[in-house]
Amino acid sequence: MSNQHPSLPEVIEADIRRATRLEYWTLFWLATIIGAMYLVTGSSQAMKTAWIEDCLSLVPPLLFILAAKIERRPPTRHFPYGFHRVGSLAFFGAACALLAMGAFLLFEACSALVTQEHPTIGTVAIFGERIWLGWLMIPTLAYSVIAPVILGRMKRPLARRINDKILHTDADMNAADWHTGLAGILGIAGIAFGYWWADSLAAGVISLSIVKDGWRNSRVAIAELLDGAPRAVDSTDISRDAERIAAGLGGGHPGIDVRVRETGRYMRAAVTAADRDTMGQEEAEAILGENAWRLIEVSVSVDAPQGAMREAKSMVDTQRKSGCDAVKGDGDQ
Amino acid sequence: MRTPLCLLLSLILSLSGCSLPKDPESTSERVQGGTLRIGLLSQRMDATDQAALDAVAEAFSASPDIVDGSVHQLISMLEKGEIDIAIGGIPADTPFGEQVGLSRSYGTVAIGDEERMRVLAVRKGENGFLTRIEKVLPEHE
Repeated sequence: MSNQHPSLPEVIEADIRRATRLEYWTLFWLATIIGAMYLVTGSSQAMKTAWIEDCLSLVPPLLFILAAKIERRPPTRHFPYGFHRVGSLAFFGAACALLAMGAFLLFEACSALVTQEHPTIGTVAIFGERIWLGWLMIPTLAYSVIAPVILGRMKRPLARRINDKILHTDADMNAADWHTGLAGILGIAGIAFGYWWADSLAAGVISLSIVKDGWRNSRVAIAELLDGAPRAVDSTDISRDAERIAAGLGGGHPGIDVRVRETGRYMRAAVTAADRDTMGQEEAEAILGENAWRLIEVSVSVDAPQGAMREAKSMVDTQRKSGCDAVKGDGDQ
Repeated sequence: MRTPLCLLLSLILSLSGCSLPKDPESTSERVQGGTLRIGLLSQRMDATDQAALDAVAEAFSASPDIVDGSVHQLISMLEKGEIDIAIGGIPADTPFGEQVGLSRSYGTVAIGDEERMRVLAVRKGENGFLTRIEKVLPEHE
């Protein structure tokens, strides 16, 4: 079990620490943006949408921080494989948040256009002057663009280096944030000039690329949870590392089956003989009796295949005896 | 940091001075120097609403014209732009808030045992009209 928790290379450790710090900064800046947006939202539906979507963008950084805390915990009796897959689960959560944000934005924009919803924006008193709230929304939206642009750009190369799809999804989320911020500025400016459809149209156009990013990430996340072949950090293609692992372990040679899967940022490979079950039907039945069909794979440590197999065999023998007794016992009662 | 902030503030103030925001359906232009068509939702116009209406009519140099009808008829007319304003003890949390645009409050109104913020309603999205109205509505603490 210990070899599943090797210490990470110093550079990777440092990068993960840096990524965690970045995510804390993201949470901080998002909080200031959400606060500022809340102040200028007023009763405007357009700003309310932007605000809800800023709240949704808190999800990926939170999940990243949570996953980074949990994933290196040692295995326990209830989690004998450790917690590496928490990364996969958090990635799925982050991808869903991105997809939900895109879908929400698209739905709001379409329904506003179809029902010809004319956004109404009133005024607010500042220093004794009555000012149209739109003029305050524009600088607030401009402020909301700055942090996501910078943070997103810092996250992308980092995400590739530490192979972190949560972080990469968060960079996509930051892109979505600043795109919607810009669209919002255009939309409010359009409304100022009397084009009621400007805000919904801009939001609708932007939402398409967000839905696309969210859909791609969700597909990869589902593949990862289903033990699919590892995917690249930024696309649905199979990861080059996975292909190198498969080739290096003799995949492609006749009679050898190499399967690689991904749990969070880590990879696991299984090398088996292609034409043989990892455990005989007889042994499986001896262990599980009528539930033998549930045991479909047994992996044995490569270091001590002989010893392990021998141990398994002797276990099978004892199990066979006690198993028979148990069955007899059940029958008696 | 100080300079761009000043520039931004002066830009905002100068923009709010000119004719933006505009109305998608040009309510301001139609009312200016013409008739202000008013839907009265209450039985009688009280002093608070009368003061608000006088201020708006004066700002647009318009002569007020009170249109009769039931509440639902008047709201529907406002949605279509057949009247310009609906007024008469409207609370800020009116159930018609989805169909019409509501102004800032210029007083309170008693609904049951509760005091609510009193607002008036304009056609949705007529932001230029609403902005000018809100600038002249009586202030209240």
